[in-house]
Amino acid sequence: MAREILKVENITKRFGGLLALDHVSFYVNEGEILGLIGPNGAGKTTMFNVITGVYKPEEGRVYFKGRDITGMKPHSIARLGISRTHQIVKPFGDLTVLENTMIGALFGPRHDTITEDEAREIALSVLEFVGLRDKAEMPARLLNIQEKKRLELARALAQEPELLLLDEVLAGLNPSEVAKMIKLLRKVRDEKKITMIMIEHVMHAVMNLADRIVVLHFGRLIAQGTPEEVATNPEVVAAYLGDPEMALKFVKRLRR
Amino acid sequence: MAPGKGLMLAFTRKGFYLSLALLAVFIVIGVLFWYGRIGANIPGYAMDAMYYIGIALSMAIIMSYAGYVSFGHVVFYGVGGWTLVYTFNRLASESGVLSFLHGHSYAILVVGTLLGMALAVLLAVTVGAAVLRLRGAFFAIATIGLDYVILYLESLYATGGSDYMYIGYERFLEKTYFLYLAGLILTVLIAYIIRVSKFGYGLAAIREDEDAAEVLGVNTYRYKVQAFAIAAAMAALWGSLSSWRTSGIFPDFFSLSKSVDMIVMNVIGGLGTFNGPIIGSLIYYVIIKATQLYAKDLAYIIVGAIVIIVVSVFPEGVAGLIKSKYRQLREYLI
Amino acid sequence: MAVELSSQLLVSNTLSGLVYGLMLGALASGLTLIWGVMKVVNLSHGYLVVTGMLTSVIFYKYILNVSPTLSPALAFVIGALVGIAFYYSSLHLIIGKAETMTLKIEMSSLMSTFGFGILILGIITFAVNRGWILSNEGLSGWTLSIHGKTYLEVAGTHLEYTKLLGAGLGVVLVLVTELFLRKTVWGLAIRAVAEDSRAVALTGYDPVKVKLLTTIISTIMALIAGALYAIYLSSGISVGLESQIAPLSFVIVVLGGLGSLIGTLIGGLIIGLTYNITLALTGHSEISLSVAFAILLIILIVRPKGLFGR
Repeated sequence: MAREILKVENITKRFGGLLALDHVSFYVNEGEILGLIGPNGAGKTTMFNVITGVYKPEEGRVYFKGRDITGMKPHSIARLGISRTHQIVKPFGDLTVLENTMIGALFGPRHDTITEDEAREIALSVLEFVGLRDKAEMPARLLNIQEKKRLELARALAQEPELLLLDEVLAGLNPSEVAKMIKLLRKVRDEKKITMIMIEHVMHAVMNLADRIVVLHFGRLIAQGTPEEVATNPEVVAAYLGDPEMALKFVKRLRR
Repeated sequence: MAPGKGLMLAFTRKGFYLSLALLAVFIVIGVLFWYGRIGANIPGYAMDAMYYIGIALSMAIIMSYAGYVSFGHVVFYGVGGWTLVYTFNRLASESGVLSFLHGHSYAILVVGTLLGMALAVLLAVTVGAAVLRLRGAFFAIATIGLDYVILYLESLYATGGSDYMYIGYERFLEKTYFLYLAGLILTVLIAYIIRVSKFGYGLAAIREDEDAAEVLGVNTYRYKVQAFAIAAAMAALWGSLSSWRTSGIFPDFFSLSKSVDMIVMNVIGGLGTFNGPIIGSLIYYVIIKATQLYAKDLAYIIVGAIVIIVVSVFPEGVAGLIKSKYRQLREYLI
Repeated sequence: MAVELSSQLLVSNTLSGLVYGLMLGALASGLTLIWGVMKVVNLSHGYLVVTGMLTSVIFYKYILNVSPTLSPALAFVIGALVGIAFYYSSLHLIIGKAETMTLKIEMSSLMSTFGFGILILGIITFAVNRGWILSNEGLSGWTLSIHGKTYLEVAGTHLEYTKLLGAGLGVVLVLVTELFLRKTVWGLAIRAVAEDSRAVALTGYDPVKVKLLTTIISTIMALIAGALYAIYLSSGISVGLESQIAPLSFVIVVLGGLGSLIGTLIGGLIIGLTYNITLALTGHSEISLSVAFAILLIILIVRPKGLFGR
């Protein structure tokens, strides 16, 4: 029987007159990968910011493992075991790759007891895992975009989270890099057993990886279900018609 | 046991070698001076150098480690100097609340210094709670404002009546030298421990990207206030020590130009490394001394030009420059 | 009698505060332009203003005996030269190629302008040490009188013509610049940079040129305002004034909203009135200045975009 690890209830977030999220509710079960999709401006990243405490919602609650975490500070939420990567990568440029990853380990859920030596070991093994071990001593700003994305992932994984929020980890990568990253994400799921929510525009990736998908459109949740259910949902297809490229991908998906 | 062992190991790291070498030089000078083998000139220069390293490292905690440029740092330095003189002339006077200390100048020095540091921490925590909500340039400007408020209020007080300016006790330069040395050792140890500790990593994360740091679990606000308070206490320590050396405080004790000194030393040395501010302060001291001797008129022109050149041509400072040019030296510069 | 006296004092302080406030607004206007448009927090602004003040004095006293009323024209020329030197020495390498101002670039430019300020301070100190100029300069022997009087009497208050001229031309300076920004294509390009540096490239203008131009205009405004402030003060002109001009300018710019020229006039009026009324009440300029900075701290923390910011 799957356990709910995260539950989002009736979340509403406004920016001035703009309604970025409009009474959105969904849940994530332990061990699954939830895809969060929708056209640009649908409120996906805003939802991540609400979950991680960067924004306070005007209405609604967020529950993590049954505990109400709405309105908590981002660092407190991170320490409970929710980590994220950013759409626009945010490496600590002047610090080395190893130091970046160590910071993840030092301030994660085990922040109270972890020593620097332990953090270093965790960081090194995570870097091995994501394939950045040989760049450990390099300043992060010298990495290329693909490596920076891996570093974001490494930093989040070093926290040893229970829930990982991935914000477009595939964006900006070329097809072979995308394939590598998908492999890596599978490895995260299969070996580390971490629950994930992924915001993604690379449709074949999210359709392949996700167990379930939630679709946002102009701040409203318009569909949720298995990839098949969502891909055949007329409202979803209509939503993507505003975005021809996406619509095309959907149509392709439907024809299959 | 584990953290203690880790800490011991940390002091054997190559990054600490420069400090060890410097401290050894200062100790040797002190011993020679104590036994009368050298005159007062060299120890005087050494004390100037210790003073510059001390105030540069106090600023480094907030500026170099956490990335917050505080033009108001001199306020804490001034509070340290002011409190010491106040302790001597009021608190520990024959009629003061600490009258039992009257006549014991070194006891008063210790008590006055600790009081000054405590007052600085108190000020840093209350003021810091407000201004540390600001970032970047806004923080810098707010601290300029803070400095001026204190400066004006202080000048108001000073013109109101100033029996508080001088320390009337006899002081011995040999002893003062070792007080400076003790202050320097304390400052270097605190700065180094912060740099290599978890706290230091958290501050580095704040400097590099505060939002990312917060999302990664760093309690950014608390860390900033703590760093601000520690930096303030260290600045107060040096304010106290230099008012002891110069036998009192002068109106320039709160002047913005001391903050400028502290900032420039950090800029020259380079942000983010432990040794950067130390190297920066030594270079700055040599420049200041050389201009005082040979080109007094040109002091500001030279300093201004250096700041512009460093910031625009090698923004990582001297330590950063060495690090990128000579990769094998990197470990020595942490 | 006492009540009459204090209300008279209040009236005269309010009137002179208004004039002073407009002058302050003009002094801060160059800063709001460079800060609002380019996100460069120009810590040398106060020294640039002092440069303008000294320009006026030097040409009047030492070189050509040019009347101070013509000094804004000189300040324009010198300001353009200083502005070019300022941009290429302190800003170009840092912000020339930057598309967006990250916090790091913002801090670097803050530090380099800080260095440029020290450089100006050094040059002025050098000139004073060599005896080229006095440490405390003034437009000695120069007054402005109309019908044999040097002041205008309003509601029993004497408002000196020099002060009215300085502040009045200051307002003209701000309004002319505002017109330039609104009505010319280069003004449009500058305002586009304020919105988004990348947008300028789309309009076909070279962003570097727009940044250079903004720096030059900001510097010219600082120097002209300085020349006007020299007229306003007539005496007591020294580099030490920087420590009042710069912080007050920051207060005013933050109050008025970054990049808003009209906002600086309003911010200037608020600070000028606050300053003079506090002065009338307490008798200490130190307290007046402290109040101004207390306002700065509160505004920064409560509403960092300023009272009239977008």
